Amino acid sequence: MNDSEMRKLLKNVLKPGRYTGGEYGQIIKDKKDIKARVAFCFPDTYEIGMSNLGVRLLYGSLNKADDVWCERVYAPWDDMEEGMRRLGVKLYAHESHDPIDEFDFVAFTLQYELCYTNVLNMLELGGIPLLAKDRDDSFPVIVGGGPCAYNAEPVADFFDVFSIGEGEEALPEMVRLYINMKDSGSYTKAAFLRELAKIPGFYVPSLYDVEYNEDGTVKEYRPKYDDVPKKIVKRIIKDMDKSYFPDKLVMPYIETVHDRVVLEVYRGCIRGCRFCQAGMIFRPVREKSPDVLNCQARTLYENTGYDEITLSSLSISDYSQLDKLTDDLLEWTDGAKVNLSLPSLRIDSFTKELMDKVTTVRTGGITFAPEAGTQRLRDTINKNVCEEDLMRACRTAFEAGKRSVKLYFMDGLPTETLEDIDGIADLAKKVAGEFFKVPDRARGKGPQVTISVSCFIPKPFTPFQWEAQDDLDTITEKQDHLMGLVRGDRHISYNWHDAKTSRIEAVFARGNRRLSAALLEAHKMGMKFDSWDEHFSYDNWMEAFEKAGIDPAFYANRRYGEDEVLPWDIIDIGVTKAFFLREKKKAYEAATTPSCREQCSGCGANRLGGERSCCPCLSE
Amino acid sequence: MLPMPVRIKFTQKGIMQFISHLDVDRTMKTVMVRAKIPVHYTEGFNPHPKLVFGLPLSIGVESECEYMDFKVDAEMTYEEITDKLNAALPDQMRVVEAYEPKLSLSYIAFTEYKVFCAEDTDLSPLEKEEIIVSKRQKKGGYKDTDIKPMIHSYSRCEGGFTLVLSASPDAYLRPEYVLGVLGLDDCEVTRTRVFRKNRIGEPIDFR
Repeated sequence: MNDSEMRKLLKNVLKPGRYTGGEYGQIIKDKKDIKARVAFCFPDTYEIGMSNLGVRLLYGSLNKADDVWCERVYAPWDDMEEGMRRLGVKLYAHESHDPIDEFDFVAFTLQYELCYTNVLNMLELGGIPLLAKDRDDSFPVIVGGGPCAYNAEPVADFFDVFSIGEGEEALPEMVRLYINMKDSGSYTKAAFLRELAKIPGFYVPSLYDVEYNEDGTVKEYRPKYDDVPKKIVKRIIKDMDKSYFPDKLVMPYIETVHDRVVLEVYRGCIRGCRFCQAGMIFRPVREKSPDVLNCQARTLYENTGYDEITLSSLSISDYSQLDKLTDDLLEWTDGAKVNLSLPSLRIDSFTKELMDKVTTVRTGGITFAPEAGTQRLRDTINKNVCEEDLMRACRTAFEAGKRSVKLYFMDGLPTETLEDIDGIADLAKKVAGEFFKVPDRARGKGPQVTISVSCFIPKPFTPFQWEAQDDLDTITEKQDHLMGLVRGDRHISYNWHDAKTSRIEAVFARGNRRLSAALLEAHKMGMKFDSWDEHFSYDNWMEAFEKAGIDPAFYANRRYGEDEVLPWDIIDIGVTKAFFLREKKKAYEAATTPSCREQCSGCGANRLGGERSCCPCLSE
Repeated sequence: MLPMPVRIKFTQKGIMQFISHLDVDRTMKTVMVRAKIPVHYTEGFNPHPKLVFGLPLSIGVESECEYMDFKVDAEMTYEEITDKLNAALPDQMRVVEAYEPKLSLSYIAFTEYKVFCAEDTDLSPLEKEEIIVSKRQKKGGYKDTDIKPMIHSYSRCEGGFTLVLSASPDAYLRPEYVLGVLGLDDCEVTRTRVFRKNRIGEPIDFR
């Protein structure tokens, strides 16, 4: 595309800065040096995609090789899509402005289920047939990865291969295999995929036959050839200190969601909340050293000019050297007028000292996630925090002059009753009451406690993977019940998630390959950007399911059998099914499991290895 | 003497025509850090780097002459500032020169644009006594306005024509209004020069 075409295209769009490329820090290469080109697609808007740490890491690690050029692609918003279709412009990559069907690989990161319709729309805008079986060797290899790839079955028919686990090492290996086969003249897509399947961490769905039982459950996954692995073991980076880390970033012109340096402190999580997929799939815990982190933070600050650094991980206060890291950072960040922020603080680790160090906590609101309203239910989900922890944390915040606290909860959790919902309201009221017990509290208006309640979604690779999601009526009843309890309390405000969105997420989270038919129908109906309220339509989804002969309740609201073959059984994340079953049983007994640092629970992830981890017997 | 006042003249080409003024401002703040130029901060409760821009630039217009003023808390040469900024700027923004400002940027009274179009484009609509367009107001909303007094002059040149438009704070005319009158919405436009007023109100070069 040339400048004049670009002008025509961008003249009437709302935010042209989403589509221009040309940012400082983008990587431009000379096409004549390049043997493989990768279009790395984020199936949502530029502002969201540019904020994603995984994209930043993979963009850099793929571009390390001189003969590989990885570029960025984002989903165009309505106004842009309309212009592209009208002017016949194909979806293009930001660096070269070349259409994506000219690339060797088109890779999608699958961050949430509701992006699937965007994936299909982007393929179509790129002039690429949607179904893998309809694409001959002239089309790019379509690759998927990210958290949803752990159960990619609903989109398996559209992809050639999935990268399972962490991709910083795996994706460059994949591209290298491709270049070698091209160089030696042995490349056909089929031969390449067959070879790729032998590299750990690559799942080629077309190499497996799936059989179903009469009741619609999966009977068996059978590799089509003997040299295709029966299970795909996820890849991990063993030593996070030595893992690839970008020394510069692409700097967006327009404001993005996380427009700052994001410093990944460690991977994995020592907790083991039974609803949480991230806490399981990223095991084992692997920390970075504080010195390495401090050095990376400094480099990135100097090379980006950002005035904020976020320390990121699933539960930042569980980092074993948080004090040293924050002290080291503060030695230079204050002078450089750089703010430190921590996104996820646990209730039981919230202290005055930590609060004083962190700008966003100092100046902004405070958020805690008790997740459930009663101790019984918090024990069931293994949240391992108690009411006293919460009250102490809130007191600390109020003593420091805060008046507003936000509390995250979930409803529809397994074993939940209306008593647990009552507990949410009680807890909020107690927190508000705590405010008035603080002698040097903020004067003027009273406390503001916001309770934000999302819906439980049973996720693959969790102890709750077999559980049913509450049906819509039950969730609505619980939401109304809670509303009745807090309505009229001027110190409490209540937000809840749309249960319909959560239901669609649940369908795809635990879906099998049959769901691809529903996605095709949804795509034909013009559905996209389903994670955006202005686009999401539950009725359209129901229509798509009906046309495809899919019963959403079979996936979302059914209790899966413990000996049922699960669609994601073909993936091995290190953590064993036996562990999930043990945890499920303990959940029903409201028995907790200590964190990895206190005692190994034998989840199985330690067999993957990993440095600076708290797992025992890693050498085994 | 510190802080040292600096004016830079810079270009915005290619994709930079699609980046809003506000986003250029944000970009410049990070550029200063990357370039390791210690910009003087504002005093007060919420200190921030003080960057003062010349004129806003419309979306879809390239420029050879944007201006920005700031102060620096260190002894540096203007050449050093130019080089450091160019190493930290996106490719399609370049600093042409850095120097000590003599006149405030608010003296800018006219700007010249080059419009790339057919050389025989009919410019006669600009000869009318009155040119009424629906013009956006500073306070919001639109109002029918006669833009004729804000069009200082125009002349044909190789590859199109040039326009000199009023750019004073109380009468700033965006080139797209004139292009709209001529039916040239899709044309390439570049801001080429800026002027201040001489004693009789005529444009002379601004620096």
